[in-house]
Amino acid sequence: MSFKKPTRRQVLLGSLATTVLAPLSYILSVTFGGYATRTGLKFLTSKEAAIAEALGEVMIPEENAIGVSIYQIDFANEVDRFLSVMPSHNRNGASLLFWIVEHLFPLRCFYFRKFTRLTIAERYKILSRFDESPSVGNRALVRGLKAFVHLIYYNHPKVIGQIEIGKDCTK
Amino acid sequence: MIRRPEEFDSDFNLDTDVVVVGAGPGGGAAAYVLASAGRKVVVLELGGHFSPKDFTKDGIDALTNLYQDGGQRFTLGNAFFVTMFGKGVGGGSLVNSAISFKPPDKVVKFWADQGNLKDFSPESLKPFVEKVQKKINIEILDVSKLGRNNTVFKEGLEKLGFKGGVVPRNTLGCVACGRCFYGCPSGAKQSVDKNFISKAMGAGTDVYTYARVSRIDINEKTNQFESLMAVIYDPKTLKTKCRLTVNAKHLVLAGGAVGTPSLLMKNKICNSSGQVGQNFRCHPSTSVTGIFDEPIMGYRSVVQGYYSDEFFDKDILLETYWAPAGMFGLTIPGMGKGPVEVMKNYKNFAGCGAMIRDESSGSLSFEGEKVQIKYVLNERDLKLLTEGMFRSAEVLLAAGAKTIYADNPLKSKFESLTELRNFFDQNKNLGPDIVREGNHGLGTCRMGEDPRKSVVNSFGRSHDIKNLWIFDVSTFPGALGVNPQVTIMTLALRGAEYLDGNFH
Ligand SMILES: Cc1cc2nc3c(=O)[nH]c(=O)nc-3n(C[C@H](O)[C@H](O)[C@H](O)COP(=O)(O)OP(=O)(O)OC[C@H]3O[C@@H](n4cnc5c(N)ncnc54)[C@H](O)[C@@H]3O)c2cc1C
Ligand code: SF4
Repeated sequence: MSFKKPTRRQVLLGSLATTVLAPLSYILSVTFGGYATRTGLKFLTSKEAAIAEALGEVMIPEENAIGVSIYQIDFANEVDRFLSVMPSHNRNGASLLFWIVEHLFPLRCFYFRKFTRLTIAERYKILSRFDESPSVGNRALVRGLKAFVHLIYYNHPKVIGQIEIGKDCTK
Repeated sequence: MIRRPEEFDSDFNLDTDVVVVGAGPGGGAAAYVLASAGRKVVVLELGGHFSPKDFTKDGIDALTNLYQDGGQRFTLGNAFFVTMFGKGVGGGSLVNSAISFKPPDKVVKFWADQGNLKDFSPESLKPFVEKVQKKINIEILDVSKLGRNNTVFKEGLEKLGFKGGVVPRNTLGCVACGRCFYGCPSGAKQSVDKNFISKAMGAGTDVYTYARVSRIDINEKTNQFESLMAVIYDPKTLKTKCRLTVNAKHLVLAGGAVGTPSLLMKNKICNSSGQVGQNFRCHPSTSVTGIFDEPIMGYRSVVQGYYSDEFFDKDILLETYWAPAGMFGLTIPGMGKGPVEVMKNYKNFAGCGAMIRDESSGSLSFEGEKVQIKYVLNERDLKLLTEGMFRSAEVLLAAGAKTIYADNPLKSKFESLTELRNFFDQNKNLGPDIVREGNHGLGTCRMGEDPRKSVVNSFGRSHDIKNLWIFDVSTFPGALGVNPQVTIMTLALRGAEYLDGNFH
């Protein structure tokens, strides 16, 4: 099988985006950023909780067929519960990933706003671009995020209750 | 007896004959042999001790309590996939699907030749295999009790003329609840805490839970193991409660394919061969989801109850597969509403997959607590995985699936056998994206008789430190091709009997 190799122009634009625009976007975000404060979080900062929720909103839209939204399961708190008992390197890895999503992902579609400030459609476009990318690394990144969101969402008893139809044989 | 952190407030010391690190299949079987032979044994285990009522549907609890690093260990290389390791008294046997295949003759012979292993043949291993099978209670369920996820697979195999059978599993009265990966809530699964470890405890062994071993002390003059240090921590806060030092005549490492090399590398011991942390293999697997018109209710089926060894000569093993819903979501391509729409039909899903005996080889490196698993799949293995994906999809389509999701970068949805066969005729290597997981990490302290090429001999004894032994999956000289727990216990029984016979 062969994947399309990125063109030289794409590579140049990509490196420009990461080296110049990323720090710029970070500075802008720190200066003009703002997140609703969440209480009761053990590990996630309120910013990270917002980023987790922003990812959840794209992958599990509110108007979904299962009828349970990410807000109904308090998605960000579930992420927090998952991460709070992890070894520190996993938690730090997650923090880094959230940062990348918030500040670098938008550049993929030349949006110069933070991920959490984009509309769901814009975020969807970014994630789909990554998912369809010729680079295995890009695809792996977005699949990793999808795995993470799915793991949290579909493991919630409220969601399981909706999809596992039939008598529970362990009771 | 099980010892828990709440019993201890200050540092303490123990003296014993043998200290075992890790209470999984390897450590459990070794503790049983040595304690039954009258040796004083202490077992130290990173995780807790659980009973069936602790195993709930709360997936996040299960991942954090029963898996090392919350199940979030990934390979880095040309593929990025999860490789999970259990923790707790029982180790991987707490969360595995209870599949209990014996070591395949062809692989045992291959290992023996490759490592020039002494007295290592299907015949010489047979008495140990039989002992394991008896102790862990192999059950072959009647097909009628397997649940529909397994019987549709069986029907597909029959339509295609592929051979197969009911998977032998270590259970006692399995009720087919589809929840093996989160611990068995009915107590049917005969994980090693229920047999080997409970027997060892009956013979006086103490098992210290939430005890993370970090330091191993070697006497520089004698080049012998002397003592080790473990931290006992509070499972809720992860904070250290106290330190435990164990002085022992022998050290058995059974921390698994990551735990054991991690200890050796951090303590800079037993690595004159340079092979510690090398030769990592994991039986990478791929899976497909079939959507049927009828309810399959895989969550009321034996998790992995039926298999096909039709392609085993090529190193591909097909097995049914049921996983928590989050894992299924991943096989549905795309993002957003589409996959969620498909998940609405969860009750009509059937799952199966293919696992390969990989020749690709990886290596581990450690930075503090963190492990990096570098693993690059070679072309041979990618082709085997692609064929495995094809065969899995073929079986479910033959069984009557209306749609197949076989997630890959080129085409993921199939609705007929013709469409499927045409596609796979033209695409023999779909690349690394199709790997779902590789949950049989192994080989990172491989055995062999040549100290320049291996870490331990075929009885698990370190070439470098004569009273240090390894009885776990890390000693496998290569991939096995079938689920490994019976082989691990077989080698642990054999090695521990040898240790007992050569105690002084
Ligand atoms: C989800 C899943 C499903 C599987 N299904 C099957 C199956 O159906 N059949 C099969 O044959 N195999 C299966 N396997 C694989 C099998 O369970 C493992 O290969 C097996 O458990 C390995 O045994 P082990 O004794 O070598 O190590 P482990 O089972 O990994 O045990 C090692 C133990 O050591 C502990 N430990 C590690 N480091 C330290 C330390 N520093 N201090 C103290 N303790 C430590 C760990 O917590 C762990 O409990 C599965 C694995 C997984 C993850
Ligand atoms: S299917 Fe259910 S009852 Fe059977 S062994 Fe697995 S968890 Fe236990």
